[in-house]
Amino acid sequence: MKIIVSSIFILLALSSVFVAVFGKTLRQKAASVATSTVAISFLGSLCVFFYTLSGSPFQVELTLTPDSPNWLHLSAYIDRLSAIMMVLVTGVSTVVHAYAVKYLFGDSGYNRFFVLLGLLTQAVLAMVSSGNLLLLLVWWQLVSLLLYFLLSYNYTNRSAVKTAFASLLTLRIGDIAFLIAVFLAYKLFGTLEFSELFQRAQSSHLVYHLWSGGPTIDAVSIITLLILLAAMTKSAQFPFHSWLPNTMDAPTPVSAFMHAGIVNAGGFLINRLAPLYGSSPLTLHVAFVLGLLTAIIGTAIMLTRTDLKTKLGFSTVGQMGFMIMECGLGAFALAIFHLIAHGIFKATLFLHAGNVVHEIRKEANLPEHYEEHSEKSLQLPWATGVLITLVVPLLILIGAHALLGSQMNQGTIIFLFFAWVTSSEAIMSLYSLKMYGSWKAVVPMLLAVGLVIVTYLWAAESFTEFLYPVPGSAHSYFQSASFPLWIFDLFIGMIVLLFLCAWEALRPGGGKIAKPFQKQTRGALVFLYVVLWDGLRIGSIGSNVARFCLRLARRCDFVLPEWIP
Amino acid sequence: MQTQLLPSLISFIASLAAFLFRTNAKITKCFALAACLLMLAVEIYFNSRSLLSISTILLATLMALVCILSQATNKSAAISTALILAILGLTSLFLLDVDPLISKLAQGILTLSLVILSFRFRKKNVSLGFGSAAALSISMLSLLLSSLVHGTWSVICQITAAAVLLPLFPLHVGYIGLLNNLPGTVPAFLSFILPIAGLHALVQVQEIPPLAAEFFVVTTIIGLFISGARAFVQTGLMRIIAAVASILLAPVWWICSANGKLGSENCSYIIAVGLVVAGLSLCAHCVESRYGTQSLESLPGLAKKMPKLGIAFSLLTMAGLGIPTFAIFSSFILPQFSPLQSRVSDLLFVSLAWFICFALQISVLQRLLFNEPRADLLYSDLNRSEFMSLAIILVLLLIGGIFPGVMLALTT
Repeated sequence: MKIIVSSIFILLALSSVFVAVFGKTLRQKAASVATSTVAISFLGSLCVFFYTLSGSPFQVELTLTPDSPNWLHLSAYIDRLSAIMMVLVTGVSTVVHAYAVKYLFGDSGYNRFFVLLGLLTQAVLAMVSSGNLLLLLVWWQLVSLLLYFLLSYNYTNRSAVKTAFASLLTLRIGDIAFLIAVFLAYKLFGTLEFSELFQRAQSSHLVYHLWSGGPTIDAVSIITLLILLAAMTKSAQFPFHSWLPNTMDAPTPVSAFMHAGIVNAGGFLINRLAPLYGSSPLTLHVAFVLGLLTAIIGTAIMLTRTDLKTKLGFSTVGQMGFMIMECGLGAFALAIFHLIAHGIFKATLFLHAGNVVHEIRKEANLPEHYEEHSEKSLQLPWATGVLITLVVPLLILIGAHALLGSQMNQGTIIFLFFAWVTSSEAIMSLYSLKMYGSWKAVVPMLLAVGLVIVTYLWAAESFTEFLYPVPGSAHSYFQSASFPLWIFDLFIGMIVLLFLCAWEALRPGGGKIAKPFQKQTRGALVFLYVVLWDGLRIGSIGSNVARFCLRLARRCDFVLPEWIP
Repeated sequence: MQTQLLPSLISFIASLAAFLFRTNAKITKCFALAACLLMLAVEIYFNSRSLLSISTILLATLMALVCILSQATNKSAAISTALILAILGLTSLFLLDVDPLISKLAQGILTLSLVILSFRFRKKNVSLGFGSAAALSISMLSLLLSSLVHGTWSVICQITAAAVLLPLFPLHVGYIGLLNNLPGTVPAFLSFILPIAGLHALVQVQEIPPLAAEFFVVTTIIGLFISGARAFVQTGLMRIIAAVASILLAPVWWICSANGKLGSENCSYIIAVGLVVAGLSLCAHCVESRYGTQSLESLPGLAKKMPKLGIAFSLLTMAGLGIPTFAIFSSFILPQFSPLQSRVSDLLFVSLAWFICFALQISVLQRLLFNEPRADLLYSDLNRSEFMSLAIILVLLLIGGIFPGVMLALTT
């Protein structure tokens, strides 16, 4: 098995070199070679995955120099988590490669694209199978840079170049936070090898002074918070989310690979370091809040967008928020299941987006005229809405709590969120299909929602056992993530109240309670729409800060004499 | 002792010959390259036990070879070849430490030559030229004073003399001025050799006085922001590269002030930074020698028209960003994980410096390589010797990054 793992890496590296050297003469054949290599790697990854189902985790060592310290040895640690990630990455990369062979044919940067995509695939593979924290950092950084070069693939396009720079700037903030975390981990625990590090961290009660004589924070929390910052930048969490939807100038295959593979890195990182996160309830709570905020903001902004790719971009932001929220609730395995499912469907959506746009262009009746959206057509049967978005999710929460409550504690709240998200999607679909009036459409939709939720419940049960087979480990993470019961109740109560208010306001002809506030509600909705459409002004805040810095630099350059360079 | 001085002697003779035969640039270049190869052979044969333990002088000779290799073949190039060989000879004498007097004399002559050079080649940027000459003069005076006074004052004078070679705000004007104004590939060579010479001078200092250490903390932080801010609004490629170099080298002063002295373990980091800056300077020279300007505003889209330069520049930028597999990352990580230096403040400062450098380097990369190229320019990519010299630098950076043992060997 070790030979298969080594061969995957060597094959991918050789393939990139091959395309770089012979790409100019062989053109499409070289691209096909690259695609075949990734496909072989996918098969190899599948073998590794099936091996890990029955066998125990193993380490592949590659020592470059005998005199180098232990932490500089290249090593790959293969367990179920890394094996499943390898399958996902190589699988998505194979599809993206195959798609790009014809999609980009004739483009001036054809070979460059395949070289970079091959290298990026290899970097992501190496990252998910890193044997220690330093190697993980090394590959993490390389992924950021290779992604930058892929995002600026159309380097003659000013907008693409600008957004690629903004993306790299955001990713570097995370890289630096990760670097400091690695350094602190080594300083405080004396090792970067995963198993030893987890052992020492779990048994340590070290506290860290933020500055001499200043407040203290426990060592594990500060390390995990810094790593969470790295995960937030890569997984486009609020307030670092802007880079992801802004990179739509990149070619479609790049977007597909990025949304299906690279943004998942944050979720993977937290899972890889699950024992560390399990020892820090503070970080888990922070992750939950940030994930929740991102999920709400990402999804809300998505609803205001009209162009397909940007809509998909914000959908990814929302999904990533959801994934981090799952981590924050201690449902690490569920987050992995989520990222796999999201990776597969998002890659499909991105690769299909171009076709949809082409098809729509052929339709004479599309886009619809504004007049068609009459006030009457907007009126949704009230009962359907309340049933799908409020009653069903609450029933699901109760069901999930009864089934998994003892194991997941307050973690079952994730099912409530999932049900809300899925049912809202369902009601949006019904609305766009204009079929909300017919129970023939509503019932299958309800059944579909139910099926999705059952699958999700199954995933929570079986995937947790699959990824964390050590008895009690998954439960301890849930335990660590649990917050006081009154917060749990208050949280659910508040959101239910919010939903009720919203439905009361949307009641046909106006609800009795909401009627006096109709004008204010409408005004608030318009305001909210504008703010969300502007991406909560995060982009403009960023541009203003950049402009201010540049103005300051210009002022400094103007005031200072030339001999002080 | 005689064998140790042999490379310097060869260097001086070759420099003189290059100056005398400057009218025939082709012969001068061949002769200089042969001299460098001879010096390398002498170094390896007499001074090194194995190739692994390559000394800094060997590396300096190799860099001189690289810089001469990428020179054009014209009269002014012959002069810059002669200058490179002369500076190599002087620095070798200084770094060899054969005798304290010879070493100090070599440092003095080196600084004096740099004063003369910065004054002679001031036309490109007069203010910087004068500023550079002034800073180097202060350095020379400090060197003189360090021999005359004793105790703390002597140490302060020694540090001041070193602060021009290993750039420290505000004396870094000496370094930046030299890199901006000198002709040909001399700036590339100086960007590599000066920080090493500065480190060598600083290592001689037993212990830095606490007050001076506090002063370094303040100056490095001010320097970081001022150099960064000014570089952001510049359009000259070499000016920005010089600022990047001074920012990348600022952490050395920070660590120096934190530890109270500078150890030779920082040598590998300085060499790595020197290699990156030399490579970027060579790229800037290639651009200037073709189009007569280094202005980023007037030369966009080079990646399309000069793909070889584009690849080399991108790789060097990656190395400069501290991306793993290149030497800066390894040479930085090695000391950080040793028990010697383990303060978070050091790491925060280094991270800040890296972040400013990252923003500067990526903005330069984008302005120079990306966007649409000009339609009114005749572009020509790197020729074989230029590409070869950049490839050598990249290989050295990769060796340093993948096999950190080689970099470690330099520090022993």
